[in-house]
Amino acid sequence: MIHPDSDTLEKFFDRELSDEQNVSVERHVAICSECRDFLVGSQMTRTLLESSPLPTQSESFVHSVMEKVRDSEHQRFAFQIRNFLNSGDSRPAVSRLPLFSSASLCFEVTRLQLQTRCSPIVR
Amino acid sequence: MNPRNSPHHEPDPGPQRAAIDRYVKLVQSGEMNAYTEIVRHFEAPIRGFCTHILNDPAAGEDAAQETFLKAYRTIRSFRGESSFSSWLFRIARNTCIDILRKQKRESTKAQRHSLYEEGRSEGSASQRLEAQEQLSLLLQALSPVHREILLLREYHHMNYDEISSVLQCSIDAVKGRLKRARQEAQEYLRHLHENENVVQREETL
Repeated sequence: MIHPDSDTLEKFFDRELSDEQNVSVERHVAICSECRDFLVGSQMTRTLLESSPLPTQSESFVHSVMEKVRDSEHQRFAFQIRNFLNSGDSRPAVSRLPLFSSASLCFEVTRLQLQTRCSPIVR
Repeated sequence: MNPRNSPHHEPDPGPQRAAIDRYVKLVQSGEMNAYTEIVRHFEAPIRGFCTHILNDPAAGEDAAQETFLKAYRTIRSFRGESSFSSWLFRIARNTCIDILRKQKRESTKAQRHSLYEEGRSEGSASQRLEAQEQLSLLLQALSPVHREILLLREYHHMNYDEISSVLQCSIDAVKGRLKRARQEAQEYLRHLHENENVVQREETL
């Protein structure tokens, strides 16, 4: 009896064969206990791994990630604004403003002003 | 790839992927809130993946959070050359590898070895392991390279192409690695079951 090579058996197990190849291996496996044993062994591992359910959906996880994302965004804006203020760019400040959305700019400028207690920072 | 709540993990249907691609484009254009939907869609599979790779739910949750944060920070570099899911799993995998390396530096292999030995040693009724315990022991016993490829294939049901994209290796490398991983897993499970049978026989005597 000619057995399919191990690569073909692996692909058969992983449903990566063409329909035609699939039928041919299926026929062989039906009458070959050696190849069947190979598949049964692989199936044991698969069954065990599939037995573990996915974690349940967690809204608190989503909230926690989004909170960190927002913090990270604020830090990025703060960094950009600091660069903006220290850039030494000779253009008037107002021409550089479109770099930021107006809401985030107002928020960050106010926050930085409060933090550093400096005089108005938009030069 | 698809989050699943059923024990059978079906591949991601096209419309869902299209919706994800839309959210990705929104985030790339600055709509931070669209990222909520992406996190909601992928959080369970990514948490599951990280938890299994690290074999620790708390560490898995931290790694998953870090994954989503890294993905957000670099989402503009995502060009759609692979699916977003593969891209995200790649980040999760790299995050877990970093954590494992750190753990390896901090501790010896003793702990892993002792768990493996626990699974092999002669012993008690507790060796009649439930599936979850068996899975945990198996994951612990497998090398990280074999653990990740088995999880991607058998738990997350990715095809060879998707796996090669996550692991950034050729399809041939995927096939070879998967084959060796299965051999390692089967050998370990066989050993575990043999031990179980020995214990059962001893208890009946």
